[in-house]
Amino acid sequence: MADKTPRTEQESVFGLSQGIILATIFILGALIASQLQRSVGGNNLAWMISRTLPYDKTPHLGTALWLTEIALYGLLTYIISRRLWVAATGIVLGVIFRLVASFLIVMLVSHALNRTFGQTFQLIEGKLWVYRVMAMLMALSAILFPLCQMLKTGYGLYVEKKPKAKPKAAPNAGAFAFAAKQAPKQEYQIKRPKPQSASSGGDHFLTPPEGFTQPKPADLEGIVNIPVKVIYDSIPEAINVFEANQQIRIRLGYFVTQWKRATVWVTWQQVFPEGADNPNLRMLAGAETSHLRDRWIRIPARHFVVQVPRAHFNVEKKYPRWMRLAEVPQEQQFSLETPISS
Amino acid sequence: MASINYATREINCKLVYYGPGMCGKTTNLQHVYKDLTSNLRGEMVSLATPGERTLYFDFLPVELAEINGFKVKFSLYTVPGQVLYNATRKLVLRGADGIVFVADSQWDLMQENVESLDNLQENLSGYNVKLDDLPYLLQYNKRDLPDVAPVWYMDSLLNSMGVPAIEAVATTGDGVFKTLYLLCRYVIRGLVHRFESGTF
Repeated sequence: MADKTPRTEQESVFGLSQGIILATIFILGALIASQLQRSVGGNNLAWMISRTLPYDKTPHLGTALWLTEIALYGLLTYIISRRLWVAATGIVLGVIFRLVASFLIVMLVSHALNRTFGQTFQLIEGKLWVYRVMAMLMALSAILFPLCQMLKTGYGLYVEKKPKAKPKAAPNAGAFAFAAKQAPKQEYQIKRPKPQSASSGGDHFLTPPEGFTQPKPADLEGIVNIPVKVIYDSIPEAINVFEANQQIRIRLGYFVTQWKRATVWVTWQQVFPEGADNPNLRMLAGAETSHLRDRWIRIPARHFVVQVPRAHFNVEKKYPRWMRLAEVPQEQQFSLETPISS
Repeated sequence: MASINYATREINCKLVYYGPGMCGKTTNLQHVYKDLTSNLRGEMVSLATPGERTLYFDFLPVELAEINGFKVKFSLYTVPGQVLYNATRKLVLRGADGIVFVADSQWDLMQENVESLDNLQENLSGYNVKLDDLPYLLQYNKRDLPDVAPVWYMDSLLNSMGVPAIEAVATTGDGVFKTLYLLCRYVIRGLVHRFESGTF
């Protein structure tokens, strides 16, 4: 969550590494610009490219280039920051970087063009527009890489809050500067969100997690009653089929257990309302509910555990080695009835 | 692993309270700190978030026993229960001589218990240690809450090794010392057997 925090707590958004990247962009741009002065087949490469769209014969090319530049600077900054005011400053920054890049290019190529600084600048802003595009790319790269973090955080105004340690260190913490723990609370203060049902989000059907096998009747006799709410949690459409507060019967044999998740699963066709004796009840197999037949229902353990014979939950114990060691007299110092304490 | 200081005639053991987030590990230590007299325990240090969640670990040194003229000092640690802090949990677990797995008894948290126990085994395997190798107990905490799973069901989920499982209410202290002392017993028993077999 982004929050406004005072500047003093912020991380540096433009440091040495960003400066190095910015310098690298300008050096690379300058190298490419000087390479554009090379001759290819007797023609100057920069002129060759620029003549593909003659400046003086293409109406409004200059205006179009300026508008494109401004739009690109603004758009890129907005994508990075998602804030309009930062996007507006991004346009200003972009234009500044673009002009700096242009001056750099002018300095490099004016000698090769055998013109004065001013004449070269006019040429670059006009007929020799390939350099102008070069300068624009350099400005865009500057926004995209070294300035990205600065723009993303709105020049450092929006930074993520980090968890803070308690301010005061325990006096006897020795080498550790940990905070003293507060006195234990007498009541639990659990503020944990309830596990969300996967079916709650619109068209997403609840599906069993990985490691799941298709159901097949197990050697477990009996029927358990499940509150209809459990069915609704997995298949909200069931609200049109079952009555409120109705108990739903499910044969234990159809349970596909996931003990590791304290959960069992059944499909819609294996549930049937109280009083019915056949899971494939006409109502459930009917046209209006047939599309639900293979939908999964997740049943948390709390709804069935007490109805299932306890023997089903017996697990074969594999006692660890340390439990098989013989008792020693020294351990009698620990009385399990009366604490050593006050 | 326990260390012996022959100069000071001390044996140092590390006990770790492990379990899912908010299950009551820190509360266990707070209760031990509160109820033990100051000559038997040191200061409890803790690094917690403003919301009282353990961020790194809690630490409480206690001195509870003597073996053959050596004082046995137990360092009690808790781990941060939140899934995010697994690296910290693994680090705290290193060199543990005994573990208390604190399980939350509430129905809604059964899956978290199972996942945390799996995580414990996975982190131990990173040190080539199995739960079979070192004393560990289960503590079914928060038994005072209304919506809790029966013990036999929690046993079927979490206790395939049949280790002692203690019902507890850490906020009131019920079962806290029973858990600690029972674990200490098993740790001492292991130490004495190692002494006697000459493998220490």
